[in-house]
Amino acid sequence: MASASIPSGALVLLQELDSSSSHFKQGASIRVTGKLQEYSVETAIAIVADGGATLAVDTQHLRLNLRVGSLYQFIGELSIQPNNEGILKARVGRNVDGMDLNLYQQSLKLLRQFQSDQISHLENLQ
Amino acid sequence: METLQNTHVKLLAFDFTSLTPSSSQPKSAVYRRGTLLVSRVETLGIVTSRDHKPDRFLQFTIDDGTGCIPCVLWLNQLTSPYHSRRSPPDVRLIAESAINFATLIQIGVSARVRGKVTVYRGIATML
Repeated sequence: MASASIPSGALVLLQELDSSSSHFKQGASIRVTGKLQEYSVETAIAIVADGGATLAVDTQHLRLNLRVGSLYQFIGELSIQPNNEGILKARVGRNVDGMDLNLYQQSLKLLRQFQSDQISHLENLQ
Repeated sequence: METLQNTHVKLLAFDFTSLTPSSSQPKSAVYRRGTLLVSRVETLGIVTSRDHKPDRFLQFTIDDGTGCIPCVLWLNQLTSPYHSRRSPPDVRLIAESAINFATLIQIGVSARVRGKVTVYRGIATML
């Protein structure tokens, strides 16, 4: 089944995405959320920001009406440039205006806790 | 053996992808971690792929950040022998609602999906 080969975009906060992050590697599939700070129609490069951190997103494959100041979520693969900066090659994007980013961070923390608890529970069963 | 076969069990994708087929139970049942028997599942995520075969099916993927769940929405109700045993007005209603869902399932939308779990080519799939 072709769709089964599509990797899941790991939930990452922009603040966590520095060069020391385990997600900061060539081809890593991630999902990021942030406010659109800049957008160039010529290059289709968008800059999203959250909590003081920013990330460049290549939106050339998306059919999305991007507005500066709105919140967006992108899923795609990270490409590390020669200057060690990451750019997300987005394959999915959506507007998430109205989303409470603080609540999102809290729920992400709970989700990670749940997932690690479940995985350790599973290991104990084996 | 604990069983939750008559309800839609809310599962994250990492949990869904680790479901294992049941050998002794009905074909539609699967095990969660070898103990809990489930056959219907509910999940929430972003649609990341979409393959539409009109009048046949819509195959799509739900990504919730912990994994991807392959899903199939059948669109063949008006032609399949399985549905010919049911009353035609009912089948038309089911077919219409399936077509409506198919138009809602677009790449990038957030979707809550419910369905039966089947194992297709070794991969758990939601129907």
